[in-house]
Amino acid sequence: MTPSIELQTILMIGSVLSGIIIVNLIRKYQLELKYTMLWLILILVTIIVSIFPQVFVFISKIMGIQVPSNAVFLFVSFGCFALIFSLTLTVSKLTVKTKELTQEIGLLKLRLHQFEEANYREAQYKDQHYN
Amino acid sequence: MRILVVIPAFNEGKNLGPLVQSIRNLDVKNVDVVVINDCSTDDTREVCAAYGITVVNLPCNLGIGGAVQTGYKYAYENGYDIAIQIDGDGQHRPEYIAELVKPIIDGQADMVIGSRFINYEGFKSTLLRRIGIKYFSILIKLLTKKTITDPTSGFRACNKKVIALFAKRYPVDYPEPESIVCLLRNGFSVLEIPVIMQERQSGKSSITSLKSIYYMVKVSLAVLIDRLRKQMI
Repeated sequence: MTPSIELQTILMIGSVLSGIIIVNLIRKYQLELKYTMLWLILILVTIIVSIFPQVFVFISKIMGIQVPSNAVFLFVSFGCFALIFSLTLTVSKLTVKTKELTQEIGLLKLRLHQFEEANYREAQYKDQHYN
Repeated sequence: MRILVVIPAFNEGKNLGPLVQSIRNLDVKNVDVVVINDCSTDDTREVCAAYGITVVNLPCNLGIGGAVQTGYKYAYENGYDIAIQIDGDGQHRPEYIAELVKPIIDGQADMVIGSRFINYEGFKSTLLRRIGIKYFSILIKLLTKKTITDPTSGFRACNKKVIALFAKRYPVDYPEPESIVCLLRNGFSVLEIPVIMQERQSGKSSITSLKSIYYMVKVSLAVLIDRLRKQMI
């Protein structure tokens, strides 16, 4: 059993379109290439699969899955999990960085405040003693 | 002409002292040094304080691109005419700074790159890395028709216009090849001069073998996508 040529075409057009959209957003500096690598890999895999759908017939045979479409669903959910996980990882890193930055700014503000205070006192002292 | 030497450093405490000393001993006038401490876990901060080096201690690790760009922003804000990038690991010899700066002072180029592969002298990295460098060189040649023999070299000097551009936009990781393509696209002239590099004095390189494949693919994509860009910066 192989999928219809219509389905193959839809898959193909869909993945190529999303590829173009992603590349265009990187081009306009709206997406960071580092975080779109996984998307691009998934798109590439989708394009390959839409050209050679027999891949999934083969995979389902190896894995003992009776209907190839179930293997497709399995891999799609794997792909989604991978994407979500990479997002979690990125968010975690960002959280740590934001925390460090906030602390740094807080400490800087304190130092600035102390500096200003000392300056002010010095000026007052000079006022009282030299005028 | 005010010159700024930008040294991005991640755990280079052992190398920084001697490096800055040899830059200070150079026979070039008006040279300032700024170290960008990319959240090192070693004694980089203390070493800089001990040697009296101007140092920007970043509160979190940005990677090489973000660190170097901090240096360019510093150069831009303080009105430097020339910025020189030099690795903190002792690979690059400060003696070449005068030669690196000369074409910029003479107005021959907007950016000058110190290349290991013009005269093929000194330490030229491992075979695999040389193949990678050659690959980027060919890719840039195909896309821009310009021969850059050492596109990954981090030993570079640039003028005020390029400082302004880099202060605004600079690639994040493994930035050298992409930034060259970006400069060429915007009509800047890039020149290479022969230099001799040394093996790193101590510490580890930031690029490991497993990561290098990822970088090859990523940088290729970045360079290709940059070709699709038309607007300035």
